Amino acid sequence: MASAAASGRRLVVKLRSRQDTGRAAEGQAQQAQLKEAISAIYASSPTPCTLEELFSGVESEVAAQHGGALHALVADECQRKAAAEAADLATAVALDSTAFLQHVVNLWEAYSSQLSLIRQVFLYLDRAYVVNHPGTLSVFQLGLRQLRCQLEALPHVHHRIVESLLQLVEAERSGEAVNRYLLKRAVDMLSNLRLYEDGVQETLLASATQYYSREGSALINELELAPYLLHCERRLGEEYERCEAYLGQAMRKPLKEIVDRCLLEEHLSTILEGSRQLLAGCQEQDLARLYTMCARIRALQGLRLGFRDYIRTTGSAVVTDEHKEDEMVTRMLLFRKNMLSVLHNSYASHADFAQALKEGFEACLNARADKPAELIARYLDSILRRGSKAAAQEGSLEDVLDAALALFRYVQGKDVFEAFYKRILSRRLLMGRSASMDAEKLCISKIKAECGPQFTNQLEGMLKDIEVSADIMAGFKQYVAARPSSGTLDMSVLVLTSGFWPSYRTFDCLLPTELLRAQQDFADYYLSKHGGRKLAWHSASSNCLVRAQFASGVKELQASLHQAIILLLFNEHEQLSFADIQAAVRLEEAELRRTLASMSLAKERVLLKEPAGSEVGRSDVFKVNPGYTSRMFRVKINNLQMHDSDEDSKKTNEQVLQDRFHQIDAAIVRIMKMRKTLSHNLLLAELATQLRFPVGQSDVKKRVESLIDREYLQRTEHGYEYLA
Amino acid sequence: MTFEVKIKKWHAVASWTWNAGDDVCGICRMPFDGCPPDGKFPGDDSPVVWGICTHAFHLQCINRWLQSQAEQKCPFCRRQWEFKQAVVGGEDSDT
Repeated sequence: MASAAASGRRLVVKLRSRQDTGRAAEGQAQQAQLKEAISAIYASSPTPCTLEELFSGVESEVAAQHGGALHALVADECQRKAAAEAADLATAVALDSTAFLQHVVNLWEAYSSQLSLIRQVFLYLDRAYVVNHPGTLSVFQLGLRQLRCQLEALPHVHHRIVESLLQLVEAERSGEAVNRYLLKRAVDMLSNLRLYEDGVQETLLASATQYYSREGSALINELELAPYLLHCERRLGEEYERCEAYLGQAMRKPLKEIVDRCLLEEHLSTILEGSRQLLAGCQEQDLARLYTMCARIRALQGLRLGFRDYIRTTGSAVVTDEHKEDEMVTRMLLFRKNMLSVLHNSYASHADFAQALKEGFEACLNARADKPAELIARYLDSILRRGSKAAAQEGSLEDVLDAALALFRYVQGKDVFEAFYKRILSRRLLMGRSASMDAEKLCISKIKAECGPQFTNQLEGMLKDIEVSADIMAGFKQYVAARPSSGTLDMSVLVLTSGFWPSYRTFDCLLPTELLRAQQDFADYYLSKHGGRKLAWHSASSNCLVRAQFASGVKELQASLHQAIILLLFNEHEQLSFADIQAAVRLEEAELRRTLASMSLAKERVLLKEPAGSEVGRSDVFKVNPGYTSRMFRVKINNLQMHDSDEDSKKTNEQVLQDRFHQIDAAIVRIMKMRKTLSHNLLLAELATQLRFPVGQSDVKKRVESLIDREYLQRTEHGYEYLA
Repeated sequence: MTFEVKIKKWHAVASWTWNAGDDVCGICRMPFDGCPPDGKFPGDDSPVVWGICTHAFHLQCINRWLQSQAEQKCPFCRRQWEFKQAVVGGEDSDT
């Protein structure tokens, strides 16, 4: 071919000189020869004369103004050939898809290569005639047009071609191996004939839609979500690859949309429903896949809401599980850790999802009033008691505190937490159970960020009291050492600033003279240093180390002051009745019962009670247990206060409630003083911004009633008015 | 009977309050053991002082009062105000 073209070019110069001679005759003969040549080319047989001669023949004909006739001639010949091809195909429609398509492609390739040869022969026609006559088709286009017309004239052939193509594509989708090269050539043919764009693509897309909606409906029920998503992803990859291989780039976008729509969008609610399972199993990879898919089909909103609702329902179940209250905080911490990890690893730390996580946790931690705040305070207590040991398996102590306080951040009733934290901290400090002062300070500085300095000032004051007390004790030791009369009692005192500490019940009791003297010594010393003050002693929080000589040997008992002063009585008496003991120590009856029970009914029974029984009665008689032994040298006699922590928390809650009423009152008055008149709803809205805890409608109503009674407010038609 | 007990160590807890007769400061009407309106911390940071007339106020409160007045008088009894030197006890001596 190339050599023919090259030789043709060499001949041009010679031919032009011939043209110059101006011979216009033999047109008929020339055209007949060309017609014969086209037939020969189409028949793939040798042309009657050389291609060069044909080329120059065309040139001379065009020059002789016979271009139109020549064009019609080519059109005619192409039509005839195309009709023959179409007829040939019509006989082959019964073949199976692959064979038929193979046949089509073979015919097409022969036809198109023959056509391009014809085009080269008739090049001059294209250059000189077609260009100057707008609306006429070039030779090649003419050939294609004729073939297309002939195919369209035989709809069953045309239909069969498209059908074969669809069948093979579908077969490949179903996992069969197909001849991709054949398909590519078929697509090439169709797009050369402009059939591909005009209808075939649409048909392909329609069949894809049908295929995938069928598949989606079947698989969504058949597969678990994770493999289903994996399948969707694979399908997308396949379609992409198919477009690369033969369907063409233009099909990529619509096919992707079809896969997305049929496999994902139509089953979105089922998929989102299933995402709960993935969240429950922390299947981060699958969730990440789901996330990218949802991002593609713009369904992130649904995924986000699903995430939030999952956290809310799952978390609420944990929070409201009253049987496992002890584990609630640890379970919630683990849950939050998992969800954070999902947020980072699967949801790309998307800000909206972070917000959803926050909303979810806020909803579940507030699903139950007050208790979560209390439990978080107790959890912190357990951490701070164990110190860095508690953090060993969880990373640094700071991380553990941060995680717990992050939970606290979601809680609305901060005041409940504050009340419990303060009470528990005070117990921790008074009993000396805190593992580390530094950890306490760290924790308080973190709480400060959440609750503001107003609250933490008190906590800091409590820690400061502990430190100041150490200094005072150092001074007191020197003061005592300078006095020869001092006893052997080793006394240490914690001096608390009463404004900082929660109020404890104080018990009056009669101390032995030795203790009284020590107490007086300290008071003298302290008051001489700090004028204008007075001291109150909290015997219930005091404790002693008691050395006791039992029949079985010497023991050291770690006991409360109340326990110790009762034990001291037995130095002089073999046995004592309840009334005797009460007369000697003058302790309130309930506390006395509790103290006696702790020594005669609990684990360490240093006293014997008669008659034996499970409760301390007024008529009981006590004596030292002669058979008391213990494996340990130093024994702690537990106070029986542990089991009344329920009562304790009830008390704290009541106190919080009381404080809330005052705060609501104050806030209402503040707002009304500023606004003068306000409707009920606006007042509620303003209150919500001022108060740090959730307020119930009925509470506000009650407080407003009370303020009206006290003539701070009066009712008006639309709401309330402030009375100056 | 060989039983014998002895207290070796005593870990006592006490709390201190201002030894002022009234519960509240006569100027700011806040408890002595709380803090005055512009004070932040109760206790050491909101000290209570006595005049020679034995009336007690928060230090911040009485200072503000004295600054606002031409004559230095106790707001309660109108006697000349002088700070009582820090002494043991307050208005009623140690018992």
